[in-house]
Formats: sequence, C-alpha cells, structure tokens
Amino acid sequence: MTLRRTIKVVVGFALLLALLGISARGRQGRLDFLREAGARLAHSYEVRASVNRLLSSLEVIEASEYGYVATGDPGFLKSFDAGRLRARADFEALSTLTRDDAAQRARMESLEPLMTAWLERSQANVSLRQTDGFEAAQRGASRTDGRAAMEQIRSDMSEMASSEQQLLRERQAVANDEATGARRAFIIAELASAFLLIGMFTLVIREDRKRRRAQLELDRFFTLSLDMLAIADADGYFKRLSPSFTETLGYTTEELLAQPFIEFVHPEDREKTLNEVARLSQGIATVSFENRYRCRDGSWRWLSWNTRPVAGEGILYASARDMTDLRQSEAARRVSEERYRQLFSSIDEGFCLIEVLFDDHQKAVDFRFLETNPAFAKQTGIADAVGKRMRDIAPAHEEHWFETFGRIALTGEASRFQNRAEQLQRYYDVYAFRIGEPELRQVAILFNDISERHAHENHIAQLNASLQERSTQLEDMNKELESFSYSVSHDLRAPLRSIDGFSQVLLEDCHDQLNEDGRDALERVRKAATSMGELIDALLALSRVTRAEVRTERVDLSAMAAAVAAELQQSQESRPVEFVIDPGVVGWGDTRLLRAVLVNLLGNAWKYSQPRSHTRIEFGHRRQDGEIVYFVRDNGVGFDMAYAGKLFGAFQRLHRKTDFAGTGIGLATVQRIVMRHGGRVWAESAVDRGATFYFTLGKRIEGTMKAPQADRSPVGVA
Amino acid sequence: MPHGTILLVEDNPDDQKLTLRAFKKNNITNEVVLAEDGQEALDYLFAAGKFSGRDARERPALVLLDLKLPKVDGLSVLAQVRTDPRTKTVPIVVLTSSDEEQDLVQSYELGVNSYVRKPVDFGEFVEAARQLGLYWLLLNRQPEPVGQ
Repeated sequence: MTLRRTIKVVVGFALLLALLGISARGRQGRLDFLREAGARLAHSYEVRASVNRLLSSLEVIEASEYGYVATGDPGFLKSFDAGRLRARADFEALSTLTRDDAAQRARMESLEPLMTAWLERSQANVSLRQTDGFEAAQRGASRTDGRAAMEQIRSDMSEMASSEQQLLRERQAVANDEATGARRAFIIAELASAFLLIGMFTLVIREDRKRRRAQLELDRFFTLSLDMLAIADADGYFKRLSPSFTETLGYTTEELLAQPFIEFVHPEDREKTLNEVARLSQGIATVSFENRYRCRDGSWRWLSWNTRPVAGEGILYASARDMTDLRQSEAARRVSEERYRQLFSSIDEGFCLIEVLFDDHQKAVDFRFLETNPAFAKQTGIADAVGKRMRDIAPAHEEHWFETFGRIALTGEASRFQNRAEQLQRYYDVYAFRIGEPELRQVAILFNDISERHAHENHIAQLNASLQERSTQLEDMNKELESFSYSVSHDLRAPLRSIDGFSQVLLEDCHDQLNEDGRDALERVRKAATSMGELIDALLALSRVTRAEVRTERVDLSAMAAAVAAELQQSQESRPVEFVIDPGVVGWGDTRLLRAVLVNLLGNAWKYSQPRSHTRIEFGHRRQDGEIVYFVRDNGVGFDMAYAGKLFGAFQRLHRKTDFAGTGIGLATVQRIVMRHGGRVWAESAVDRGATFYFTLGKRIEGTMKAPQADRSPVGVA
Repeated sequence: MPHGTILLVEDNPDDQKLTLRAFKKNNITNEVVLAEDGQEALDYLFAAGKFSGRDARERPALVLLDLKLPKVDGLSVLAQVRTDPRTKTVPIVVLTSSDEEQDLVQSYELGVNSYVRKPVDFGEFVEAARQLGLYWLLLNRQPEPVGQ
C-alpha cells in the first residue's frame, strides 16, 4: 500500500471518528434537552403548586380568623396558628423556588410586605376579639382592609402562577427550536458517517483485493523464478525458499527450513560464509558470493549468492544461482586453454596472430605481429616479432601475402596455400583464418617452412615431366613396332611366297632343263623360304604376347592340359604316350595366353621324348613357399643344366635342328607370358634323364594387367 | 565345274600369277576377272567405271579378296558390298597374308564368308585353292540374286 493510500485511510478514519463524535454529542445533547425540559416543567408545576399551597394556607388563616371572631371558639385559634406557621413555610419555599427568576423574585419581594401586613392585621383582629369581644372585633376596620389586602395577594399570586406558565411556554419553544437544529445536524452527521463508512468500506475492500493480487504476484514470482530465491532470518534459518532450491539440492523445503543454512554449506566454505553473513548484518550487501551446498545425494553444488539485508529487521533477501555446470565448463575451458598454450608452444609448425593494417581504400598494406609461438622464429628466422610490422622486418615481402591476409581479414574465409617469401628465402605451406571479431581484423596463421620439400617437389615434377616425355616416346615406338609387326606379317611373307611359288613353277615347268644340282638348289630355296615364314610367324606370336592385354580369370588348367594332350596324340596317333594330368589344377590368368604356355611346354615334352619307346608326360602342381608351382615333366632327352641360362632366350636352341625341329621361340614365349602374369619359370634336367619345367602365376590379381609400355627385357628380337 | 565368274582382287602380280596357276592345277576353269585395287573391284561389282557396260545382275560366283590393297582397302570393299542389297549375298573369301587378330575379327564382323591365310608354301597354297574351289564353286548353294 502506498503512503498516499495509507494517508487516505487514516484521514477517512479520523473523519469518521469525528462524525461519530458529533452524532454522539448530538444524541447526548438531546438527552440533556429532554432532561432540562422535564426539569423545567417540574419546576413550573412546583412553583404553581407552591403558589396554590401558599394561597390555601392564607385561606385557612382567613377562615380561622373569621370563625374565631364569629364564635370565639378557641378551636379556631389552633388552626389559625397552624395556618400562620404553614404560610410562613410556604412563602419561604416559594421564594426558594423562584430565586433564579428575576421577575418572580421582584413579585415575591413586593408580596412579602403585603402578606406581612395582612398577617399582622388578622393577628390584631383575633387579639381584639379575645380582649374586646365580638363587637369590637366586628367593628374593626381592619377586617375590611383585610379583605382588600387578601384580594391583592390573590391577584399577585395568580399573576405569579400565570407568569410561571408563560415562562414555561417560552422556554419550551426555545428548547424546541434548539432541538430541531440539533436534530438536523445530527441527521446530517449520521448520513455523512454512513456515506463515509461505505466509502471506507469500498476503499478497504479494494485495497484488500489489490493486496491479495500483489501477494499472488509475489508468490508466483517467488515460485516460478528460475533463480533460487530465499528469505532468511537473523537466526540463520531460511524462512522461505523458492521451489528451485528443492529442485537443485534435492531436499524438501521442510528439510531446508529445519536447520540453520550453515549446516548445508561445505565445511571448507563455512568460515567465509559466516564472514559474509557478518558483513550482511552490518548492512553490506553480498554480490556474487560463491559457496558449496550439500545436496541430498551427498554431492556438492556451487551456488552464487546475491544477498541484501534489510536494516534493522535482521532479514536477508537472497537470490542464488547454480554455478556448478558453469564452474565445470570454466574448469574445462581452463584445461583446454592450457592445452592450447602447450600445443601453441610445443608444435614445430610456426604460429602467429597478426593484425592486418589497411589503407583508406580497404587495401591491406601491412600487418603487425600480435603473438608468435616458439617455432615461429625457427620457421621464419625473425626474432622478437611481436609488436613489429612486417614491412619493417622485410620491406620486400611480396604483395600477395598482404593481399591474401587482407582478404581473409575482410571476408573471414580461411585459406590454405603455398607460396614463396623471397626475402626470407623460404617457401611456406600456410593455413590462415580470421580469428575473433571481424572488426579486429586479426588473422591466425599456421605455417610450415617447406622449402626443402618444395625443392624436392620441383625436382620430382621435373622428373615426372621427363618421364612423361619418355613415356610418350615409348608409346610412339610401340605403335611403330605394331605397324612394323603388321608389315612383317603381311609384306615380308608375300615375297617368301613368291620365292617358294616360282621355285615350284621352275621345278615343274622347267624340270627337264634342270639337272639334279639345279633341282636340289631350288628345293633348298623353297625350304629356306618356308623356314623363314615360320620364323616370321613365331616372332609375330612373341610380339603379340608382349602386346596383348592380360585378362585375368579362373582357368581350369587340368582340362586345358588334357585338351592339348589330345591334340598332340591326334597328330601322331600311333605313338605310345602316357599323359598323367593332376585333376582340379586351377590357375588365375589369361585363358588364351595360358593355353599358349601349355601348348609350348607339352609340345616340347612331346617333341624331346620322341626317341623314347615309352613316353610319359606329367602335368601337375604343388604348393611351395605359399605359392602354387605348376610343372610339366617328361622322360625325354633332357639337357645339360650348364646351358639352362640360355633356355628361355629367343632363337636359343640346345639341340641341333636336324635332331629336333623348331624355331627357338617357344620357351621365350612361355617366359614372356609367365612374366606378364607376374610369375617365374625355370627348369630342371639332366642329359637323358628327362626335363621338368616349372612355372608360377604370381599373386592372384582380379581384372586386367595392362600391357607394359616397353619391353625392356633382353628376350625380344635378338 | 559349273559356270560362274571368280573375281580375284589382288594387287601383287606374283600372287595373281600363282593364284591363277593354282586354279589351273586344280582344273578350275571358271572365268577369272582380275581387279588390281579395291576401287576396281567395286566398279566391277556395281557395273561402274570401266565395267559400266556390264550387266550388274550377273554376280560373280566367288570373290577372293585381299585386304591390303591400293586406293580402297579390302575391309572397305567388304563393308560396301555387304551394305548394298544387290551384292550382300555374294560369297566373299578373304585371302590374305595377314594373320592379325584384328583383321580376322573385323572381316567377320563385316560379314565375310571365309578367311583364308595365304600359306608361304606353294604346295599348301595349291591345296587351299583346290579346297576353296571345291567348296564354294561346287558344294555350296547360294540364293538367287535379289531382283531376278
């Protein structure tokens, strides 16, 4: 309630009290008036009764006088004397009654001598009767005078009575007027107080409603606040707590109110808490005071208090905030800050924080070092850079550095790049990004001196370029080789065909003109041509193996060997040959090329075991050192291991052509194919003890193996 | 031997002579028309150029086609002949020195009937000529040309 309202209510009550006083007085006045009016009426009657009593006393005296005079009976004397005594008393009483009225008092004063004279005259008359008898008395003038005086007295007395009546009427009228005014005022006061009372009532009702609403708002504010609100008293107890206390600490409100709050404070924080409470009792408010409170589950939570004491009442109003999470994150932040510092100072990469300086046209013209890490000096050769400007350190520092850092400072787009700093004679790998508020124009730079690497990269790039050149040359050469092979296949064979064909024509058409030597010579020409044709074909086959793409797939080598064996047997059905082929031998490679391998190896076995009456040819495989070794074994003539090195060279032959036909290309082709598959080929033999040829196919590789760009092995055309 | 012309497309005079001799040795007496390059072969088949007077409806019984030819090469001749409705069913045998896989594959893709490699040995060549004549001129049946 505001002060003005308080004043209003007080004034209202004062007014009401005044009005009530007025109406009470009015009521009292009315009672007094009635009492007064009664008294006046009674007085008036008493005065008139007193007048009548006095008159009747006087009449008793008069009657007694007359009686005595007439009869002389002493009995009348007795009543005469009693009447005289009573008249005296009555007169005294009447004078007392009318003493406060000036007019009546004046009448009484004029009446007294008259009455005294009348009494003396009647006394004298009685005395005359006693002494002189009836006649004397009857003659006495005094009696006549007595009657006149008596009339006078009567008239005065009745005037007195009527005057009293008149006075009563007047007083009654005045009193009535007064009473009417008083009643009016009284009614007004009553009405006013009634109105005032209604007004006051309304005001109080309204105030009460307001007060209740204010109370409700306060309660809501108290209960809904996210902050913890508390009221504590001078005894160190909480008096009231917002629900957030129970939510934070886990206790019920009753539990928190049951014991002094210091009981909840962490033992280590109690002393400072008590100090703070002492300060509060001196009227000093607490701001952001932190201490730990025990939770119901035994854990501790950091609370930050703002408390204000109310001077003189010993009451503390406090708001608290749970700082536990904040403190934890603060601690985590400190740890990460520490880590950052460690990282910052221990990494070998250079790190610096710069402020980019711009001219009036937003053009970056320089930058100042704000912070550098220990590696900075090592990476740049610049010592004590902090606070210095780059232009002062290296006036010839390239423009692009300023442009780049300026752009990062303006746009906030981080950038990674490599560039040269000529004056520092280094090449850097740089990662730069804007840090902090954009208007600070600060850029953090993480960088590495990669001069050496850069030089190596340059060297490698040069090597790559020359390699690329070589590779292009080789590709060209390979194409040439291909077209050469095509020409060989087509153009070289045509003349051979003519040589052979026309030798034959000669032999047929000019048979008779030729002698034996001539015919023999032509036959040799033909044989040479045929043999050269075979050589050309073999060379082409070898070249094709070199050029062909290797398509890797699963190949059933047992089935393939069996098919080749069947073909060989078919070429010479009568020859007894025993083929022993391991079942289920599988290899990974190019079907066509592997077939060429088996054709050559089995063909050789077939050929070189020709002289045997019983030929045994085996195909099989075995595991050796984690790889599969395939072999073809025969019981033929074998060879001297001393010449094993020459075995796989093109045109290399270990046997005379007259003994065994052949071009000397077969094993070279086998070796080429095996090598293309990533495998090896070798042989074991002894003269007349048969031979075994082994080969592997290397690691299994899915997909295709590209033909090599160039044939650098010495196996090519010899 | 039934009648029917053999078109021999061959630029090498030696091979021309040897081929003719091989025919003769095998008693193949059909008329042999010689085309010395691809263009001449096409002219004959479509009755153009120096063959413009010829009745194009008379198709050769067999075309022996070399691949390596001046002007228009053998594969182009093959392609054109096979895309023309008048000649697309004419039997064509490639007779060449080439043993290249790509030539073989392309020839078949273009619709050749046979692919024979000329052997260096003349005896073998004569034998090849004999078998070709026997098969294509005697055994093999072919549809009547379109438009007749």
